[in-house]
Amino acid sequence: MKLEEYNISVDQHSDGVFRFILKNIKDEDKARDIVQDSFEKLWRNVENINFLKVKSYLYTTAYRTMIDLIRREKRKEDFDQVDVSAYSHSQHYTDLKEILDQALERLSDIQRSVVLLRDYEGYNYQEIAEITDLSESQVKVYIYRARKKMKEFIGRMESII
Amino acid sequence: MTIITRNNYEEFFLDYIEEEISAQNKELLEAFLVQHPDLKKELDEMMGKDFTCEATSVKTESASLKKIPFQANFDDFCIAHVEGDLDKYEKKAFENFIASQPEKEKDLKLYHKTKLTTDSSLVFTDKKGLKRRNKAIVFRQFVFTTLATAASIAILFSVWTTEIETGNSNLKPELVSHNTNSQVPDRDTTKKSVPEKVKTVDKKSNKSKEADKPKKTKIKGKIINKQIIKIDALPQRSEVQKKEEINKLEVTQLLADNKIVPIENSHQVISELAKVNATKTNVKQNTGLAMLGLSWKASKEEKSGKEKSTLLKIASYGVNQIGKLAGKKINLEKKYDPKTDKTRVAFNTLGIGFSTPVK
Repeated sequence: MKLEEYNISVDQHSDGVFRFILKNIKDEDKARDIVQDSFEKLWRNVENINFLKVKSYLYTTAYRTMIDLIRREKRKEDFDQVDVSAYSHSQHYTDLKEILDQALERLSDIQRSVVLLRDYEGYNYQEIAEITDLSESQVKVYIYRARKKMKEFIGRMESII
Repeated sequence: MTIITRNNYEEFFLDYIEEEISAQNKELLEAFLVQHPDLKKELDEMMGKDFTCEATSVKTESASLKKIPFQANFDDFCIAHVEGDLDKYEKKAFENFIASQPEKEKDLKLYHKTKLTTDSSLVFTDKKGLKRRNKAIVFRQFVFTTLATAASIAILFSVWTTEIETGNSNLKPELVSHNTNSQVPDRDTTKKSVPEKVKTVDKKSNKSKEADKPKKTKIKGKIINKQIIKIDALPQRSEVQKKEEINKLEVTQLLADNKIVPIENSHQVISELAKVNATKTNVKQNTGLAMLGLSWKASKEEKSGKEKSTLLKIASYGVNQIGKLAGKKINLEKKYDPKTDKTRVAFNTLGIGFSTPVK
């Protein structure tokens, strides 16, 4: 990959990688750090990476960096422990997008990642499997389970609102 | 044994489709198809002939739909519908099922709501910081910036040094003449006319004519007080009896006649003054720039449209960069002053400003 192609990659993918990471960890500063770290790694290997594969490389690098960060911080939350009634009077849940954001937060890290890659970037199961280092069938199962949880959360919130 | 050719293969095909072909002919047919893949395709089409019939197809589809466990795995089918994992027959069958089960439609809609849409308001703002530049350009800019900064420091240092040294180098002519006096023998001297040497003394410095005048007066006064010279206007020593009388005469005559007065030991005075001049010249050139081996061009009027010297351009760039870093406006200008016939470098900031003549 050439210098110009690298700079094009910055224009094309930095927003997407940033969104993907930010939606996962909900920390803007750390999301920026991960994006910068991912592009730094890309630049170090710029001569060995095909421009056509750069998007996959960036998401893979960003995802793994994020997983390392999450593991370090051990920030996990069990979706099943969510007390929906605690949010029933919140003004934040009048909009479907905000409800979805909350539903997304209550997924496990891996479920959230595969759903984001699927919906935001339109990756197929095989591509997500390559990025997340899972099997294709595992990705499919994670997505199915995530959809069920999100549907359940949305249904409960809508019934309350 | 019949040989299969492109002219009789249809017969074998039919036997094969109807499963009436013998084992021997089947082997022959398979070997033939390997050699003729286009005919294998034709055989496949012949075998799928029933499925191309619309009525049969519908019948087959209806049969397969009955086997789909929509009711048992409803959520999975909903998700598959959202994910686009159903083929067209399954999708059509599932949608028909939903249409016949209105209470299930709400669940399907909820599943479709779980599909996220990209939040375009979230953008990475520091793209510029991620981008890279050509190494040669970066290196060139680095070198130029470094040189500019160094030049700026050199100029500021030289300006500062010039100010300090100039202030300290205000050597007074009296000191020179005083030193000279000690070497003058205390004896009468005869009147001598040394016009050329006097002329040299008179032009010892073009810059400080005013300073020269009191110097000459002092020299004469000092020397006269010691009674070591003779002036045309003064009377001969033999004619003067008192020292006070000499002083009075001298002052009067000096005021009346402002001519240059040759003295007997003028060559010594001149040599001392030459030393002073040399010292002054050295002091002015002994700036930070000179120590760094740099110098400004000689003072002269710059023609309009003439480009700045390279050194000044570098210095200006460096000063501007420092100003950007400091968030202040800093100017460094080189201007020619026709009144004083000097070129001055002016350094101005919001809080401090000064200028100094440069050579």
